[in-house]
Amino acid sequence: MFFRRFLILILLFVGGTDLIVDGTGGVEAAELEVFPTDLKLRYRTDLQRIVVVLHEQDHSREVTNDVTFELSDASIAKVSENGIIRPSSNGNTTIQVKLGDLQNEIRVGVTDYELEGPVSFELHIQPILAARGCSTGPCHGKARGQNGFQLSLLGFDSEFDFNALTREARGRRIFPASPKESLLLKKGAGHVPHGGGIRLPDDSDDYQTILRWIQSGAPREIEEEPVLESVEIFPTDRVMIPMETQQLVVVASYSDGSKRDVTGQSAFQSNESVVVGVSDQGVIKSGPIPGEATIMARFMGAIATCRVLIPLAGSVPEQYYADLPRNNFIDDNVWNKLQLLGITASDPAEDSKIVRRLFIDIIGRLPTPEETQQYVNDTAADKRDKLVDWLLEQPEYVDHWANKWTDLLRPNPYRVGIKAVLNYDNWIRQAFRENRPYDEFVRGLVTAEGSTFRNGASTLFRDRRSPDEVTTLVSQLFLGIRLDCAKCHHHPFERWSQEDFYSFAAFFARVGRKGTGLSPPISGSEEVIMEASSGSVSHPLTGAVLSPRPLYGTVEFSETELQSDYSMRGKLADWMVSKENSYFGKVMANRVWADMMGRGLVEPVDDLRATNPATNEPLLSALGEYFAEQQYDIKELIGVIAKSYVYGLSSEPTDRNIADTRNYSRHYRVRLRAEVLLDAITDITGMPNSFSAMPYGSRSNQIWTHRVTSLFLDTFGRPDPNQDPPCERTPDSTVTQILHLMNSPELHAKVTDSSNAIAKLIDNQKAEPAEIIERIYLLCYSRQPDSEELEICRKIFEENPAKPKDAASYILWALMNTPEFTLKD
Amino acid sequence: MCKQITYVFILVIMLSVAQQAYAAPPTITSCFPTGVKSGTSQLITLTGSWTSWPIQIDSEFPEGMIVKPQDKAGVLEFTVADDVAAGPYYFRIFDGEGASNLVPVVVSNVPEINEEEPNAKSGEWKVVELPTVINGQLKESGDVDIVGVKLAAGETISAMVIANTLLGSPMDGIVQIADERGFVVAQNDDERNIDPQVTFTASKEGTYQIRLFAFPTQPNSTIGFSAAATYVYRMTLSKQKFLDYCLPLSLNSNSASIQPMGLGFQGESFEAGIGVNGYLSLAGIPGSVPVSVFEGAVLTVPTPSKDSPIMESTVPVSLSGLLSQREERHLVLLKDLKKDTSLSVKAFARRIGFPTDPYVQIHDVEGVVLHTLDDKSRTERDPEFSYKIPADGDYQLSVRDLHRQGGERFAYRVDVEVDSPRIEMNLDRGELLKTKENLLIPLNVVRLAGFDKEVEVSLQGIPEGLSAAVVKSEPTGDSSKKVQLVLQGTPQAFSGPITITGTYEGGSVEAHYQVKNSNLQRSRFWLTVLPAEEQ
Repeated sequence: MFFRRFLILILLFVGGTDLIVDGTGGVEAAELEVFPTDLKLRYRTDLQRIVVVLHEQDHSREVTNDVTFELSDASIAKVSENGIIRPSSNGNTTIQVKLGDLQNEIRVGVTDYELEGPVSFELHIQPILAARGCSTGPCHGKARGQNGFQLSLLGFDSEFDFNALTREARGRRIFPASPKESLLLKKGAGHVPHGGGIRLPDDSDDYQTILRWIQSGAPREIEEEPVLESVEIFPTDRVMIPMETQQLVVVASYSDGSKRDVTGQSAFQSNESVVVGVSDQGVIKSGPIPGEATIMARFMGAIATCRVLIPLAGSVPEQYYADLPRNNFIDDNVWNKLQLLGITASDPAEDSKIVRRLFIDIIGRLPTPEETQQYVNDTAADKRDKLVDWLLEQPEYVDHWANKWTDLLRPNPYRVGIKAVLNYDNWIRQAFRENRPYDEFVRGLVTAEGSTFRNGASTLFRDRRSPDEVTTLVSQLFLGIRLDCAKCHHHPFERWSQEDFYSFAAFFARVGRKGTGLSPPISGSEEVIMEASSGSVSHPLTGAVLSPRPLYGTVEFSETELQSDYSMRGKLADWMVSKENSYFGKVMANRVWADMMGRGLVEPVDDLRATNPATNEPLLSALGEYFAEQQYDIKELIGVIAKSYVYGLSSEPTDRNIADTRNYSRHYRVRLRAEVLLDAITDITGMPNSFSAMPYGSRSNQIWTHRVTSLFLDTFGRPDPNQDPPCERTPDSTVTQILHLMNSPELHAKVTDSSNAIAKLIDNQKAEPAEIIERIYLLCYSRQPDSEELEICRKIFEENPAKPKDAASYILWALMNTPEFTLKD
Repeated sequence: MCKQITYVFILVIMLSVAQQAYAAPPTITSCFPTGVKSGTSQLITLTGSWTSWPIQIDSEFPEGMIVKPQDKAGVLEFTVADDVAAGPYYFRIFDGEGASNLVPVVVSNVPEINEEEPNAKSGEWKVVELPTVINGQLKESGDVDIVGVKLAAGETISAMVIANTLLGSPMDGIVQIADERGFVVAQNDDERNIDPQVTFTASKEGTYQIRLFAFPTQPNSTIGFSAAATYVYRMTLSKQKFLDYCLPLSLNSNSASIQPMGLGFQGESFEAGIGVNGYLSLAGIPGSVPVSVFEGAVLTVPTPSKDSPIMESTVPVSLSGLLSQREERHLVLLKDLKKDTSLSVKAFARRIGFPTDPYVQIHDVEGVVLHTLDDKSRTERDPEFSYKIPADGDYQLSVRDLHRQGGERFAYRVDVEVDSPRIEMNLDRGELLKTKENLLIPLNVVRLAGFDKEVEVSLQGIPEGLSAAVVKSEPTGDSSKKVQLVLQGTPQAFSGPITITGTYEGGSVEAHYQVKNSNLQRSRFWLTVLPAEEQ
């Protein structure tokens, strides 16, 4: 729906029509949209902010400050110039909102005007403290508080905060006998020195609210206090032009059916502040460059988001997008997004680049010259599909993809033991050898039992020894939900509470162990992971024993299951891998997409949340659904991406996609993974590696622990073996890497060895310089040299007539030190 | 000049130390190769120590198996007749200073190859014909031994390594199968305790590498592959048939119908006999399996199905089964048990080389659990317990894997007997006795299930000139748990076997020890008596 609305607006940009197409395909005139249109104010202290948006022919913009408000009964309510409605007496009225010939209506009802609303600690005071920054991390919300005053982070522990305000500091913070003398108000208003500055000016609504709370005796709860259920934001999506503003309105809904404007007590944050910024008051402002952003509004534990899109100026004919080739659903979704943004796709990449890209992505090595030429010379229309299918069946596939997962799972052998890690590594590789469906792979991990010497997957529970430690790993890796924050406090950007965290952790409460535990640095003994008959997880604050509960949805347990050694982890696995659980497929789809396309639809790849949306949510959903439909066959997922038209785009930008870094209008170049790069050098030179603790000639992606020494791999981003998994790699290039390629003795030895593959070509086949140069180019770049390159290289041979091996090694070394070699293009 | 004097002094010191070392008993730390094909002769080199060569040999070899020391110290020639059954046979070397522990030499019924270095790199390793047994040794740090095998598409190979188990190699081996280019297609670390075994079916025709490397049994602080002269192994490779184990896992006579299990067997049965070494083998098929003799019914528990009734049995019974599927649980109805009968239940799985972690329960006929045991102790994963029957009637015994796993090697054996009073005797010091230690032989007496008889303990086989008074183990008091035999007389040089017997009203028992690196028990202790002047 979001994209469709945008698409309609974009079409208007493109078509220049003077009509507006509504969401149903009909045609209507420009209109004023008002939010909210029906509001009920209770008590004379209540208020509601109004936002008015004008939908014109080719654009929408906020006009709240430009419209006039006419009340049918002016005694009932008043409207300020900036659209804030306050009650004046009990009754009902309507407000006509007018802008020129356009108008809309707001219905207003006021009750209990004669009363001041009761002030609730949880519903009113804590939100103010959070919104004004008092209970945030940099101030009193940090672990030890600030200057002796500590609040729970963002007010998620009401009991703690109430005690801190009313009972600590000898009661000086709250002084009901003389409310204005309360330290809370005096500090907040700046009447006495306050390191955090003035947060509650005397004349602010927030000051008055706190004052009224103290005057009423600073109660912990009010009578029949409702519970916050949700918040909504307006607007939820906007297409903006550069340097435009939009006021947001946040309305909270409570369990008693009431609603309240909490815009002033909400905190706002943009995930792309360069593209779209947002003020503390909820005013968003688009920046000068096109792009998109999501604005998060947080009110206590509830989150709402507004998505903003700033299309590229100018227009692209609709037919352009209609004519783009479409190999599968990936192309549909990418083209749709490009159309929304008004950016165009790059040309398809040359065959030589495609073949290199496919080999690197799918099996982690460069194609041989023969493989390259076979692909380039193939005239079949489906040659890419055939190559993809062939690559997916090659043994290199196993080690390349398993190597990625070992980063995410495999711990330090000096922590859990050498044998446990070796077996864990083999368990991961065996899964890829069998092409084990991803759901079975995850189930095998989550429900792992048995000896760490026999079932490698059980090493997960040897490494992560408590339910909370396992919880963060499982939720992050397999659901894309980062729960670390919720372990200590309510998640600041998501809905997860401590109760959510520990209820989820309760699935691992019965992980039992027998044998010998950790005894670093050797930890050599066997440990057996089992399902124990007892075990529980308690809420760290309340002490309540929590029943296992998934993060969303439900899992049913019978009494027998709860009381026996029945595998609760099995139930969790059922829920996780269920096809109804879209997170499960999406996070893996996103991970694979990121590996192949250079950037995840969501970044970081394992951080899926409303406040960090995918750059193309329909595509991510479609990939997740496709993955599930294919019974979580990883090869099918890789295959569908590799066969898409989008995958084959050139990295060369066009005028209309040069700034695009996240919508896949072109291929994004990425530095080769450390192992791929080292193995490429090994393959090209024909000089095998000799790693410790590995059979001679092993490829670097077959290494079973990052403890195996390799300066090359460390330089190019292999995770630190002491780092606790999951370890995501960064593809950044560094000066060290460049210097290493230039100066590495290891590389030098391979390149200059008189028996390397190039030297053999010279010795055995008496190859001519042109042939040698061509071979080196095909080996390194998977392409032929152009005439200029050929000429330069010929000169090197001419300058070293008696030393053709030296000449070849100079060229080889030079090519290996170029971006064309070290990057996947 | 001074320097020369110093060197002479050091030499004298070294020679005197060497002279002292000469007084030590002989030892064997490893043999290479470790086996012989029946119908052939094989030179085997011992690693260990001895004071002189040739040396005397005590063996349990059957007829047709001969050992002869060679001129070269440490080298023995073993000649094995065609009809000698496959399996390990034990021997020890001894002299006047003492004896080595029993060590096995393994007879096989398929060709054996001695591994030769170098074989770690492409172009070095050689393709071997199957079936075969590779006698190998990981000699140098980082060593990886590789042989090649040719497999057709769809062909299955089984690679089974014996090293730490049976041979006592201080290595924790890992076996890998890789394709010709070095891409691993199968790997195993532990299958028979810490020795690996792997089965792989080739999807493509080709030459495959069989690799073996190891970590030390006791892990150290390095990740590198370990090696030593004592890292000897036997790797049996077969793509036809391979006898892995048999069902049942025990027999009630020395010859019975068994179902061989392993590569190439499809559920057929054979009449087979247990060899003198306690192993069972099939002619021409690689593999030999230890089988124990049980005095009572011996049953193989079938895989449960909806149609099959619960197997019934009386006690005593030895139950064997294979948990072939995940979640599989075997159930047996034990009939007509009397109130207050004490049942002895002993499970065997880990200790006889299976991955099964037995979880044994006693239930009433309604299925209500009365008793559960997973492990005998923290270090012994096979449960053993006694259970007192609460009332006359039938009871169920169930067996499953603790983790509800199953597979082709998830076998178990559970012996159920009436727990009658009985006695066992053993020595803390093991199989080797030497009179240098004041001629005292302390003996542990283990009284089980209320054994309360007086026992008279005596020595048999001691040399002339020595005697040992019969000692009594009373039903209560210190002697109920420990007694001490005292050898008296004029010591004369002796090195030979003796036995220790406990006699009680209605029976007798021999003291025993467990053969190193095996489940076998022996009662022939080795006594060495040093000449008087050496004591």
